[in-house]
Parts: sequence; structure tokens; C-alpha cells
Amino acid sequence: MPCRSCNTINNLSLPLTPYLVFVLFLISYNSNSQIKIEGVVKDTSNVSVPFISVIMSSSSHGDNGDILAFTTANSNGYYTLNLNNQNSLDSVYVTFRHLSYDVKSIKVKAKSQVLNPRLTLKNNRLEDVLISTKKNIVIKEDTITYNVKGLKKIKDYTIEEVINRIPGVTIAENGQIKYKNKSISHLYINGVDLLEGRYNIATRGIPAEAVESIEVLQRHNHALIDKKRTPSNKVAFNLNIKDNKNIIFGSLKSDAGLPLLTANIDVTPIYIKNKVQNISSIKANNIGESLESNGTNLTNDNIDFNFLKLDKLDVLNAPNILGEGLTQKFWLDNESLSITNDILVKQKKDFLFKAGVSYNSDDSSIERLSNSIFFFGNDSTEVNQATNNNLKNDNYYIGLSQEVNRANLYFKNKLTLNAYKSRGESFVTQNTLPINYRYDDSRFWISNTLNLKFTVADKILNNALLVEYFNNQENINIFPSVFEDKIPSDFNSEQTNQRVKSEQLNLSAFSQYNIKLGETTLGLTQKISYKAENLDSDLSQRNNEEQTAINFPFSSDFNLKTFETNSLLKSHYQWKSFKFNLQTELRYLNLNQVESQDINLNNNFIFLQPNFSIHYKVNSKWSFLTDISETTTISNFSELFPGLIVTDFSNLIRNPNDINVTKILSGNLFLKYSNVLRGFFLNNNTSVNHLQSDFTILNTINSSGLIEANFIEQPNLTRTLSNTTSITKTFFRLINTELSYRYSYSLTEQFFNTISQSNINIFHNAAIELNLDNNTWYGITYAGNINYGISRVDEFETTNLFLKHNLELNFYTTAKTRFNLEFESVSSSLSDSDTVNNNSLFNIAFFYKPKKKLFLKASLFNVFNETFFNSIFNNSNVISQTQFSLRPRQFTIGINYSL
Amino acid sequence: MKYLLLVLLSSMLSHAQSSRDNMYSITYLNSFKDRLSQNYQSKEYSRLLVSGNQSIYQLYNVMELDSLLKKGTVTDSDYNRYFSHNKHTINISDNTIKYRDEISEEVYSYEEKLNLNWTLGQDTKLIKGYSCKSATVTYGGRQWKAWYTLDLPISFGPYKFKGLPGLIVKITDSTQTYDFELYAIVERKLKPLEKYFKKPDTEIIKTDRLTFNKVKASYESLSLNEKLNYNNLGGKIKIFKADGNTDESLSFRNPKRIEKSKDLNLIEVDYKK
Repeated sequence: MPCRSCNTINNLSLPLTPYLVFVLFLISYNSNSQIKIEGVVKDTSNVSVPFISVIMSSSSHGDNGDILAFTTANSNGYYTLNLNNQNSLDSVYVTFRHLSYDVKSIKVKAKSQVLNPRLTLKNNRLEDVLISTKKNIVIKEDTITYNVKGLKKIKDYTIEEVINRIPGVTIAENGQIKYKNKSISHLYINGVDLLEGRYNIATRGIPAEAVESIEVLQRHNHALIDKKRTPSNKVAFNLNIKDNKNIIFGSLKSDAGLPLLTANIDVTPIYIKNKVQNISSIKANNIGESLESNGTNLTNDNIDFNFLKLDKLDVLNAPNILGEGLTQKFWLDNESLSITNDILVKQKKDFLFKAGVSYNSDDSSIERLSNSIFFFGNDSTEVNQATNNNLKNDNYYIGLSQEVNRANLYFKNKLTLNAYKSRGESFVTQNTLPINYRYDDSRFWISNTLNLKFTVADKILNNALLVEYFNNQENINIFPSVFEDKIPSDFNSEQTNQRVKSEQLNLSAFSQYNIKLGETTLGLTQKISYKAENLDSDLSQRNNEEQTAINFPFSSDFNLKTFETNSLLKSHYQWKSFKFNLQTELRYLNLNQVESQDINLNNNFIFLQPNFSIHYKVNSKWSFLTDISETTTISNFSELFPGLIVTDFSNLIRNPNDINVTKILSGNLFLKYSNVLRGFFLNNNTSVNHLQSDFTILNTINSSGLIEANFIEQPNLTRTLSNTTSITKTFFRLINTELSYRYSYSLTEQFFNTISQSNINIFHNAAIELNLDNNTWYGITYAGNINYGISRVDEFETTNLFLKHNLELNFYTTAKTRFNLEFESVSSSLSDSDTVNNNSLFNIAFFYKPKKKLFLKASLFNVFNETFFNSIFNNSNVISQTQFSLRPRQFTIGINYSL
Repeated sequence: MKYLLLVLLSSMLSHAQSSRDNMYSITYLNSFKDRLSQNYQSKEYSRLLVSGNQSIYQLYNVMELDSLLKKGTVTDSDYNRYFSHNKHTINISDNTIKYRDEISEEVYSYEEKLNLNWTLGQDTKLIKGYSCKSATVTYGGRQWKAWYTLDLPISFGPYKFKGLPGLIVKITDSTQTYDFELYAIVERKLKPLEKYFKKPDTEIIKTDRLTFNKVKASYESLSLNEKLNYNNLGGKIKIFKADGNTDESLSFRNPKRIEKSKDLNLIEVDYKK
């Protein structure tokens, strides 16, 4: 049959229609598979962004997926991307990158189209990235890496000593690290948080020579889900251990001394492998180094958690075994033991299991003399006190946590158990009256925190649940009886007993979500908490046979139930280099107070608390911040229980009979300069606070020096003004300097012995620290502190001057030997006295390092055998002179070995 | 007080910079063997300045010496201090290369249209803290493997290499005799991307890439004495014969010279074909 739609080609008859259809299909297929995406890239000010990198990929940001096509825009911001879509992708990602703008990744359908994105200018520009063998600093965006070899000085042994050399770092006596006046949030070892905030175990145990580099992680987010999503102002540190370290490494220190038998042993074995890390520490000493803080949490955790946590009750006062004004090693008479072990197991890439245990025991004592004069009107009372105090603390800790840390999910559950036992005794002579004071305290607490973050519509929903239980039992016995006029008895009482038992339960949760409306980011946080707290107290006078009746106010069974909801709305708007933050908090509280099943009070409070701040980042070095806020607080549990409590042998307190509401208006101004490469930091902060509360304290002191504190319902005003300036700079490339100056002014009101007083305290404090050690034959460290205080009570004014110098000289006599001379001097004086209290202490030590991992030392401590330290200070209407005992002259030999 | 604050703010604002006023200064560490028989790697720093779609690439010492020459403060000891194995300058604008180099006292230049066909790889690697992806290309008779990072979206690299979605952090040839690795990157205030030349444009010899490479190979194959003669005789070799006559022809028949030419390992080797 002839084919009408056929063409004859070379005598072949071919059907035309199917071929036409096929050809048309091919054409349409090819045109479908060819994608062209083009457009013009502009910024939020509608200015075109030239030479921007444009990538088409199968995943967001092109980080993981194949790069399908790429190009660079021209000088007008125009770009074209062509792709042969043979794999028939439904959608692709187009990512725009430029060093001066935030990265933008847009998911589009895999078809030809015009795409004109708008980019936002970055606040933090490309920082200088300079690799230099001299400075040994690498800066990449928010991470500053310090090479340990370039930072360490010859005498540095532990990594803590090297960390202390990083510009901007200060380390407290308990090992807490601050960077630019902010506590660090985490200390990682090889990128993993083994110690969960108890990092002084590592920083004081890991030898410096085991660490390759120290990373300072600014604007740090621990949870991966928060990276590139949640702004952060936290700082964390990461220690990179050298690859060639043995699986087990660490340090061993041991000292022994005479004439008092002293010893110090410190072993920290560390095991680090890919999936398991373990760090143990065994420390024991009686050389004046307290181990109380070994293994304690030095980080502030999540600020939202902190708000929800219990204020653990601590009513009675332990005997004071602390000196002040002088470094601890000169006065602490101790026997301390600490054993810790922390293990981390990594299962799969993102699941961590951690367990930590610790036991700390400290037995300390001190001899103190004090002479205090309390002024009120034209009268005064003098209190002379000689005490011999000792205190023994035992602390047990277990912590278990599980963590999953992924780019789209964060989960962490942490369970901690703590038990604490403390017993102490004071032998006191107060204004010729001998007093024996015994104290004991047992505490137990358990807490479980659960944090879960996941994304909803590409925004993070952050949730947390907190459960805490705290149990505390405190007892004091005072021989002979005190406050007999306040706790009358009709028999000859011999002792005063105070018993306090408290229980606290806390159930709290919060949920947080951010949404973006145009250029504004809104953060919504809802917190809810329920606390049930009970305090059971008994106060009595007694002898062997009789005891005063225990009824209210000497006995109290106080229950407080608090229900609180807190709704917080944060709005954040960015305009060029300005960040505007407005925060409004609506707080509702319901308090139900029950005393001895009789008094039952129910109160409701609603507070609206605004906070406004402006942050202006001038460039990568200068920034400026101001904020104003109004906050209202009410009494917490420890300020509400109504019974009469004797807190120690000379203090009696009775809380206000109603809830004290305090309104706080505060304003802050910050100015910051930061140049990491040059190690130059400048911080200036001015702060003004105005506090108004409903109750004013009424203190009464009698001739025996016993103080009674009551509260009267009278508005009380406190005003403070402070300005702090701190500078860290290296001069002449040699001398590392830290300077700080602080001025503070405070005005407070109180009643003292029925006389109304307005107290003004003004302090000027200047501190300087110089460090010169250029790896030559000497090294010098000098720290100076001057404090000038002015106290004004009505027309009476005193001034106090306190000067402290600490000088350390190191002489490297050969490549293996070093002499160390240490000199500490404190001088204090008061305007009304001709006496100037001077104290000078001198130590000398010799170090010999025969091998890389071993060094030996011999030292003579307190060379001139000073026995007491004298100081004087003033505050409000009190002038106080104190004296406390020092550790005697001691000769010690020691060995340090790096495992 | 408010005026003081205004003055303070103004002075700070004057320090704020825009991206258009800046350029990027990228330093590379070059490790190379320009002789195959060499048993060590020579090392030298090079500097790449990038602004928009333009760049200039030079050896670091050459740049420093140029800066002194321009100021007119160069001394004899500076020539030793800022010695460089290579004196080339590579200007790139869009995809057009202007290459300049010196052979003895003469300056040569050529233009080239850059057309690098990169093949993107799947490998990833962490180099100098940057997460890098791989890419390969053939150029100048060599196979090159580059590592580039999306974190630095600058489509440039050392020598003539450009056109990847991110800055080239490291690039090595397949024989492992040429390697460029990122050393530093700094943002600087924009200044003209030009090279200082002591010779005027009219005295520059214009040629093409292959011819230039042949001439360079020939010159580098000369011995030190021959080079000295070449320099003194304005480009000719004087061979002294036993009979006291001289022959000023350029000749490569000396067997030692042939060995030297085989030992030569220039960065571009396709002139041999």
C-alpha cells in the first residue's frame, strides 16, 4: 500500500511521521537537558557585586556534592552558568561566594532561569592570615592557632603555663581560663570535650611539650547544628596533641621537704586514641596548694540553663581558713588529696559517651587575729578576735553524659551526682571571751539536664529539660551560749545549737526558636519552672539537762513552692555594621509560702523587663556596644525563710517578713580594640546601676561583737558606677604587658545600731603585669597592684592604700640549669593610723634539666621565715586590721617527669 | 561630650573599608628543581596580587627589588639579598596573559589567551586548615594536580593557573618537580597592579610563548663562562681557538652543552616538541 506521508529517499520509502516525532523529541530532549542560569548579583544596597564566584552543585554550598558548573561574574556582577543536565536532576543549588559577603546558597529547579540574588556584606572581614615562624600565629576566620613551640618559654612545664602566655588570657588560681575577660566555654583535647568544664585536670597535667598547637575558637558554637545558624560570643580553646606522642603520656611530679615533713605528688596519665580518651589524676600535697577546685566545673554552661538552676542553699558559716591579699602557697596549711578519672568513648562519628568521677579532700587550718572597729554616728564598737580555725572537706562527684552532635541534630543528656561533707572547728577569743565553735555540713545533690536541638523550617528549635534535687544538713554548736538576750532561757545554758535541714526540688524546661522577618531576626524563648523548697531549722540554748523550747521563730518549718513562666522575645536587626537588639521579657511568678502549717501566703507577680542594645563593629579591630536594661527580682528561698538563724558564733539573722522586690536599672558602654597578630587588646567598660528595693538591712552590734541582722520595710537605694580599662600589649616585641585600671563608686543605705547611714565606697585599682623572657639568659615577670579605697559614712571618711608587688627572676645559667628568685611584698596603710603594715616574702629555687623529659628542683621557701601577714582594709563603716599565720621556712627537693 | 563622641565615631568610620578599595596579596612557597639531576628542591616565595579579575604574579624577591629600583634606593648588596632564580612577571586580565621575563640583560614578553580545561575531581583534603577539593589540568607539557578551597572564592592561583571556583592552595606537577603551596593571604589597600621596568616598552622583545621558551632553554643550557661571554658580547658567544682565532657563532655542538640541555627542567616543557 502506498504511504501518503512518506518521502522517497534514495529509492527507499520511509515513513516520515515517526521520524519527525523522534527528531522533535530529540530536540526537545536536548533543550530540556541544557540548563542556563544567569543573572546579576547585587548586595542589599542594590549595588552590583563584581567577580563573585558562582557554583552550581547538587548539595547546599557545594561542600559535599558534585560541582556541576562554576563561573565568575564579570565586573557588572553578571554571571552565566551552563549545565548539560544528563542526569535529569530535579533541582540544583546555586551558591554565591565572595570574601566580603555572606555565602548565599539557593535551591532552584533544574531549568533555565534568571536568578538575581542579594548578598549581605560581612561584618567580620577576612582577617589577616599570616603564617610566620617568628610569631607562630595562624588566623583563619574565627580561629587563632598558636604554635606551642613558638609560644613556650624554657621554664614552662605544663600547658597551663603556655596558655597563660597567649595575649588576652588570664588564669585564676583555681585554673579558670578567661580570654579577653570572658570565661571560656569549653576546653577541647584534639577537638573533643572530654572533661566537660573540669579542664584544670588537663591544663595542669598535660606537659607543654606534648602539645603541638593551641586553638582559640572565637564566636564558638559547640553544637554543629548552630554553626552558620546561631551567632555566638563564646570562646573555646582546643589543644592539639602531637601526633608522635605515645598512646599514654602525661606528667609525674613529686616533692619532699623539711623541717616540716612536706610532700607533693602529682600524677596525670593521659590516654588518647581515635575513639577513646582517658585522663586520670592523682594529686596529694601538704605544701599549700589547695586541691578543692581540682575537677570542679570552671565553665558557665548554657546561660539559659543557669537561669533555671537552683540557688543551692547554704545557711551556716564554715570556719574561715582563708587568708587574703597574699598568694595561697604562703599561708595555706593543708593536707589535700584529689583523685579523678574521666573517660570518653566515641561510638560512630557523632555519638559520645563520657563518664567522670572524682574525690577531693582538703584539711586546712589557719591562725587569724583581727581588730575591727564599727562606726555609727559619733559612736563605735571595737571587736578583737583571735581564732584558730580548721576545716575538712570531702567531695564526691560522678558525672555521666551522652551526646549526639550532628549538623542537623544535637542531643545531650547529663547526669551528675555530688556528695559533700564538711566539718570544722574554731577556737576563738572574742573581746576576751573564749568561744568554741563546731560546724558540720552534709550535702547531696543530683541533677539531670537534657538538651535537644533540631531544625524546623531550617531554623533551630532548642529545647531543654532540667531536674534537680538538693539536700543539705548543717549543724553548729557554740560553747558557751551566745545571743542569750535573743534566745532567752530560764536555766544556765552552756551551748547554743543551730540545726538547719533543707530540701530543694527543681523541674524546669525551656524552648527557643528563631524566625526571620525580612531583615529582622526574632527569637522566642519560653521558660517554665516549678520549685518546691523546704527549710527545717531549730535554734536552742541548752546544757546537759535542759533545752529551751523549740517553737517559732526559733524553730521553723518553711515550705516555698514557686511556679514561674518566662516569655522572652528578642529581636535583632542588622543595618550595615550596626546590630540593634531589643529584648522584652514577661515574667510571671506565683509563690506559695507555708510556715509551720499555720501561715499560708500566696503571691503573684508579673514583671515586664526590657533590654536594648546597639553593637557597632567599626572594622575587624574596633567595636562599640551600649545597652540599657530594666530588671526586677524578688527574694529567693534563702531570703524568705522567716525563722531566726544563728549563722555562726557572732552572727544572727532574721529575713524580712515579706517578699523583697528589687528594681534594677542598668546601663553599660563597651569599647573594644582587638589586634590578634600584634597581641594588642584594649577594653573599656563603663557601667551604671540603680537599685531600689523594698527592705533595708538593720545591723546591730553589741559590746561582745555579736552582730544581729534584721530587715525593716523601708525603701533602700543603691547606686554604683564603675569604669574598667584593660590593655594587653607587647612593647618593643619583647615586653608583654597587661595593664588594667578600675574605678568604682557605690552608694548604699543601711541602719547600723538604729542609726541611718549612707555609705559611699570609692575604689581606684590599678594593676600591671610585665613579662620579659626572650629565650636568652634571663626572664623577668613583675606584677604590681595598687588599690586606693575611700569610705565615707555621713561625715566620717577613711582612706586605705594597698600595694602589692610580685617579682620573679629567672637566670638560665646553662642550657640545663636555671635559678629562680621570687619576691612578694604587700604593704597596707590607713589614713587614720600611722602604722604601715609591710610584709615581704622571698623564695629561691634551682632547677636542673638533665634530659628533655626530666627536671629536678631544689627550693628554699620563705627564706627569712616570716611568720605572720598583716593587712588593713576599710569598707562602709568598718575598719579592720587582720593578721594571719604563714607557712614556715621550708627546704624542698622535687622531680618532674613527662610520661 | 556629644561632640567628642561624634569625633571619635568619625575617626573610626574613616578606618572602615569597602571591598572595592582592597586587593588580596597571596604568598606562595615555590619548591622546584630546575635541573633534573638536582638532589634538593630550591625554594622561593612568590607573590600574587589579585584585584577583581586582574592579577599580577612575581617572585617575592623580584617584587622587593623592583620596589627599591622604583624608589631609586637600590644598592649592590640588595641585588645579592634579593636574588631570584626567575624574574618573570605574569599579568592576567580577564583570560589574557601578559608574560614578561628577562634573559640576561634582555627583556622578552608575549601574550597568551588562557584556556585551561580543568577537570574537577572528587578528592578532598585539608591543607593549611582549608578544606580543599582537587582538579587536574594539562599545561605547558605537564600534568598538574591542584587543590583549591571554596572558603576563599578567588579564582586565581600561582603562576598562570586560574579559573577554579576557589583559590588554589596547592598545585603540583606529576613529576613532583614543581610545587606551589599557599603561604599567606592578606587583604591590602588597592594599589596599581603593575611591574616596574627599567627598560622602556620599545626595548622589550615581543615574541610568542613557544619561541620564548626555546630561547630560554638555549640560554639556560649555556655554561657559566658561556653565559658571561654571551652577556658581554651582546648575545653572541666567542669561542677561543688554539690557533688564536675566534669564532663568534652560537653553537650547541659542545657535548657538555647537550647534556646540560637534557638536564634542564623548565616549568613549561612543550617547546621541545
